[in-house]
Amino acid sequence: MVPTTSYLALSGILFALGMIGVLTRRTAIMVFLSVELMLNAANLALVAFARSWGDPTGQTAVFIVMTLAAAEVAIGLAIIVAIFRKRETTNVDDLAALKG
Amino acid sequence: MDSLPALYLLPLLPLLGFTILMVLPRLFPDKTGGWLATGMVGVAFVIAVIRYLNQGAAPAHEVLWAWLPNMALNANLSVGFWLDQLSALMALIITGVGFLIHLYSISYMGHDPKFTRFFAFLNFFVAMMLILVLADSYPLMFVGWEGVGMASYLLIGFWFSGRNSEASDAQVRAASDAEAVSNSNAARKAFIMNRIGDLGFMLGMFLLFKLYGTLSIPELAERVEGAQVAQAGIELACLFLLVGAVGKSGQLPLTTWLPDAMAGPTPVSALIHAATMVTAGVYLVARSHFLYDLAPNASLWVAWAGGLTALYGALSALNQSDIKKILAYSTVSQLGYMFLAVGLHAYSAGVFHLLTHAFFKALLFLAAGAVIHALHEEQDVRKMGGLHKFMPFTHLVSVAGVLAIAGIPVWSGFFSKDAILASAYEQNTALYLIGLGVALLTAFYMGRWYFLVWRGAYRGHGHPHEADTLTKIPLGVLAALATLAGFLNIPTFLGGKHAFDDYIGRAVPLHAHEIPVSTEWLLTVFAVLAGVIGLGWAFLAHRRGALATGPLGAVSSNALYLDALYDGVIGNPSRAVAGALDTVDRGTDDALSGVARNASGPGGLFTLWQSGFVRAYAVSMLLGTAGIIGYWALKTIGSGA
Repeated sequence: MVPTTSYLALSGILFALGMIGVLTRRTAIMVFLSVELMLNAANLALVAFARSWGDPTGQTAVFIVMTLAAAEVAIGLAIIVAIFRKRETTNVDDLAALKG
Repeated sequence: MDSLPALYLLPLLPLLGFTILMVLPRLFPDKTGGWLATGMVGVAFVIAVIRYLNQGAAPAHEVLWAWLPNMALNANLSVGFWLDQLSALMALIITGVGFLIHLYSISYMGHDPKFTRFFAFLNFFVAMMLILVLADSYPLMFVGWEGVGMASYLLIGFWFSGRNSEASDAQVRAASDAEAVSNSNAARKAFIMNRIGDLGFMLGMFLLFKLYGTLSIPELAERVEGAQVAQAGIELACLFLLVGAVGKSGQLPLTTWLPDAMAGPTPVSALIHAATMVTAGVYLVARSHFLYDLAPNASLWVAWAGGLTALYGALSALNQSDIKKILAYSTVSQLGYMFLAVGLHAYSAGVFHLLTHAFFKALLFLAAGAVIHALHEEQDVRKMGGLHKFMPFTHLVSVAGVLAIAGIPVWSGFFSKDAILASAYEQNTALYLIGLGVALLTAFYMGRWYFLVWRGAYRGHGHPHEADTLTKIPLGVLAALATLAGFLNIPTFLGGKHAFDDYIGRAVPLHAHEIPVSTEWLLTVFAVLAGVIGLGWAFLAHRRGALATGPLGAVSSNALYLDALYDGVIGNPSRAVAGALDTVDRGTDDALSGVARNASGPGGLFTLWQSGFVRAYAVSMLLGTAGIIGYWALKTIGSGA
């Protein structure tokens, strides 16, 4: 059986990849994808712990996260499309109107 | 009796006129609104006459509906109207003189852009005044009392934006703006002074309810007799009511609003501030006679308030230069006579003077209005003179008015003033002497008014013209009434029957004269002499050409500095307090603004953080999360778990 630590390691790598994506990519779509990657890294960690402790609570939490992520994708993409229609760009560095 | 028109129609008709003219003014182009309002008051006058002619021995009491049911002590208060000889007389004066003044206003206000609204307000006033005099309880009377105060406010400030605010000439417009400020201030002054009086009226009502458990006037009149009530309570209640009466009638010490009220259009001065509303105080005392009869001290206060005001008004009128101000101070003075009379329990004499004064003072005001119109809004008597050549009819009626107010026989003022002076002589020598002196001063200042306006050479520039027919009708009728009304009450020693006393005596108690006929003759001679000397004095001064400046100089033209006194004692301290509070307020405000301004500097530093770059936020989140997790991780490792 694959040890839990491997899962956690994979989860950590995925999370780090997502984080790097969020920090370095400028296209909103890519930032968004990276956020999804981080979410799923967290999901992986949750199921890994659920299995290791024989407790289904972690799996239940994953289902909730996935449902929420689905909803969030719908809204997030809609916002990105709306912004693109208005500003003709999805470069997050150009979308700095809320500067303090 | 059932075929008689109901009493509620009296106030209802003008109220209807008011409502129609306020809600649908566009339905009444040109002068039709004025005719509608005049018609409403005319019909009300006819109803008042019918009711007067069919008056039974007992007062009519027509209850309309329960107003405040189940008040404490089972004192149900209803809305109802009460017609006895006193209220019938008042209703006749209000609707009769009111009708004539409405008629006059159609011509006088003919060119005013707010013509229809003016008549709506006038109708509102008549309705409220009728509620006041016909009310069967003090609270209902108070409704009318407040209503006429409101109407007075609206009409004094009728030209609240000046009469020429749209003029193209900048100078005319500036004058109009200054006038607008003083008009609005006059209206507010009247309202505020009246509020002080109203507080007295309310306190009086509260105390009466506490003492007797009812505020219905007929019930109160019954309960007062034989009720075991502390004397001080009655005296105090009467004093409170006096405060109300003093406020409404412009008596000392609340007198200063009445001369300022002349800022309103002249018909308003005639109707509200001479003939009817300002007599409400006299009416209140006469209506509450059953209380004042039991309160000798409060009654004496009433009499002295009246006597001193009569003197104050007469002295202030001596050196005024505004044609309406002279009449205004004269009104103050004549109202003082009425208070003097009712304070001495000579209710019939007081109410009789109220009646004759309503005629001759309305007449004088309307004549003054005709003069003001003829001279294109000129109100300074020093710029008049010799007008009898230009306006013979108005001159003739003014003569009747002057002779009536000066107390020259056979004009009406002679009879009514004589009755008051006789009562004063009987009961209080000091007040009699004041009254006699005031009679002399009255004749002088009215003589001065007459000679300055009508005689001598014309000192103005315009071309005066005689009034139109619509103006002449009310003037003629009022002149006839001012001349003849005295014959209603010819005293016994002159071969009369005291017809008016007999009539009004069914509503208020009469105090029979107990002075011998020879003394009465003497008193009459004195009173007439006072009038003749006063007029003669004015005539001699006129011949010398020294009439433009009256006696007492600035003291009189500043109305004995009463306004300045109030301003110094109440106005200035209030302004000082307000100024101090304003400083505190502004200080607080400035301090808070300072805090806000200073906070925005350091606040600016934090805005650097809010760069608007999503990725920068992501870095902060990352670092923050890393920091927190790192802290916990180190802590866990440190604890050795």
